[in-house]
Amino acid sequence: MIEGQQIPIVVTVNGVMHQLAVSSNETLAQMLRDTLGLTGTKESCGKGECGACTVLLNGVAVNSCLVLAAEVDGCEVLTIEGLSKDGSLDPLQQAFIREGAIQCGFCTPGMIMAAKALLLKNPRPTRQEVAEALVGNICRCTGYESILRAVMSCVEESSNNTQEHGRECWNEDH
Amino acid sequence: MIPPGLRYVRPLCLDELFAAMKEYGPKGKVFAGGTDILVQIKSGRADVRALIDLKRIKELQFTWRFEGDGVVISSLMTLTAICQDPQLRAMYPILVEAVGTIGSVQVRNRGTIAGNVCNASPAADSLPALLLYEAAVNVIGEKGRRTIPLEQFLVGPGQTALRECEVVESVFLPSPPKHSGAYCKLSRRRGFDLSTVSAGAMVVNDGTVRLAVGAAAPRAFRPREAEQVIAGKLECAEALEKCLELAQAAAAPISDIRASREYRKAMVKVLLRRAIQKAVSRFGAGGNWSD
Repeated sequence: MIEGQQIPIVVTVNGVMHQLAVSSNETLAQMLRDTLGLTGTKESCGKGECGACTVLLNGVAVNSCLVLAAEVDGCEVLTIEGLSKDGSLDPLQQAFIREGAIQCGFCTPGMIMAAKALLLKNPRPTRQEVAEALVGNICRCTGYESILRAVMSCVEESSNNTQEHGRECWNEDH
Repeated sequence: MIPPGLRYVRPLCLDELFAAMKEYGPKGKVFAGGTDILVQIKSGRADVRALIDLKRIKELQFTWRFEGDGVVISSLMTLTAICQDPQLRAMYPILVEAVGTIGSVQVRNRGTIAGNVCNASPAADSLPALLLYEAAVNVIGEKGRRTIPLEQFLVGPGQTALRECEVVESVFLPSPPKHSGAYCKLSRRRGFDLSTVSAGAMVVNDGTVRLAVGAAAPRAFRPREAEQVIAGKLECAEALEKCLELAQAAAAPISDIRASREYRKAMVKVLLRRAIQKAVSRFGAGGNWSD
């Protein structure tokens, strides 16, 4: 893996700054998994169609299989590992568990990150808006109903509980 | 897996960009979002020696601005940013509608219309809308800048009029007349998919009509004869049928994994009819976008 051109980058991942030398042919997905050991991000299709590799790059959802590691110099990345704080799960993660929205679990990190990206921009989406935000995330197990319920349950939660709403903004504590 | 010999180059200004493009020649590919080129490299469909990242070039650091009698959209402006810009939505609603059908949120957060244009897929969704707005492409090279009307810029599937050591700086859209419009995309699923056939329609307040068809010919195109027949005659059922027939006759689709050529031919009429009807009903709602 470590061959060819090496590019020095500085990247903040889940609030932690890293100075790395990445290969020119290394994707962000590979860097997260193989260099940083953050294997929560999954790779499935490798061509930006399934969304399993979704992470937040400077606050927006991207397919990390189509981003070169070299491109994220100076950027901030949030992965599924960055959602849980001090061992306690993000409301989205709790909702997925509660609603049975996890079967094999392979799509789950990407699905949650895509949902997280939506809720960061729009804390009260409609069900249709949630479905549209998750268009880029494929699930072969659940049929999506439990996933949509899980995300919508977070929308209702945040409108009932303003303290929870504060936790939606991951930027605050990093 | 991306070949390990691939070089990554990050020019910070145009001079460095042109130097890199000269160094690597045709095997050096510029990129911004990378959502097309990286897929092609990974599947072995692109022979690329170096990827030249446009995103840090100082002269390209703008989203869009007014220029001449219209606007220019930077080659670095993401599709998401275009969809979310209230002024672009108000001025170019058909483009915003079309761009919103591309891929997924993740793809649109990285992709750009310059990339969509330069990839020149026959099914590219921004192209029919850009043709409706009579867009042009601003190309820069060491010798300076030239502006090429989009219809001339698109040469064939995957082929543009870009010469060696040239790059698209921006896409120019002239200020349109008061209008309403619609972009209708037929795909196999109501989600992330390439267009099987697409159609765009613009109803102008002077009674003229502009039409565009995508994914039904080697390039997206405007069926000019069809436009002439329907001009000022949107109420006339006969004129509409004649218009749709002419547009269908102008289409030259292929059969591929998404559909047969016969199906595409038939759907050109269906999609154009839908696009025209939508554009008309939006016009009826006050020549206004919101519906």
